[in-house]
Amino acid sequence: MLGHGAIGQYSIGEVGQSAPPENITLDKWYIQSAPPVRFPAILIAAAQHFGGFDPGPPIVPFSWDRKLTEPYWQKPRLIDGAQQFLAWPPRLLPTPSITASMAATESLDTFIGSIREYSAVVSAATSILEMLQTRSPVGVIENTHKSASVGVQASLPISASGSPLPPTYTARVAVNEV
Amino acid sequence: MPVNITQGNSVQFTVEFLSSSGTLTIPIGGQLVISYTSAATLSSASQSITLTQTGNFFTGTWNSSVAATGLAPWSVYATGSTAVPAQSDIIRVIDP
Repeated sequence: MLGHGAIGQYSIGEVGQSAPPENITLDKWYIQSAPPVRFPAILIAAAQHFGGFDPGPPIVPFSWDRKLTEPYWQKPRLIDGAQQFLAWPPRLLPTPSITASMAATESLDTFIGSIREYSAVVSAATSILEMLQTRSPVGVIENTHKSASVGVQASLPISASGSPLPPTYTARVAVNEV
Repeated sequence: MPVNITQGNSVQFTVEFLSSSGTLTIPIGGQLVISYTSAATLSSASQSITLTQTGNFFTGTWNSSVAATGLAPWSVYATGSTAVPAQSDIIRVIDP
């Protein structure tokens, strides 16, 4: 590990709401907002990885505040050179049920750590975070209607060439004769 | 620390993966690679075993009947991680 690269920014909570939700069920995250919502290219790439845009498989297992009701997936289209997502019926990915808790006092880094854990169990071959790791810093998903915003930020190990390194695991192993 | 296994018996590996921060984590898969001396040819051999996830654990079983007595180093890897094993150790295959 030779350094860290920041990849975006977390911004979780309704605009104007300083404290994030106490609990966020990651596998039910979705992006909730009135269209149009602008997504950074990195998330669009992740979305493509998770199922493509058209004709409407699930986009990304990103969700939004559970307090909001009637989520809908948003289908992107290119408008004036910018990716915009239009309303789309909700279809969640068959991701494992993992819940990450984020207390209002919890540091962002800690929460990002839990996102990393989540990324390791996403049933798809590559997680969103891994997609993020392969690309440049991303910005915040911004809802132009100001009802919601979601973004991602993490500090990740990078190699001398600047490309992120894959995660390193350790393990506890029990060996038993049977 | 090497674990003694009687030749012909099986070995069950139960693995918990931990992130770099030491937190229990579940990678998308796990693999066990074990090297040994083949009982049939007395030459070096290795076997790769895909670990099966059960809850927070990954398990895999190796049958030592393929191995001659001696040392059998093993390593556990998490899918999608670096090439560095998550854990390594040695099994000592002993006479029945």
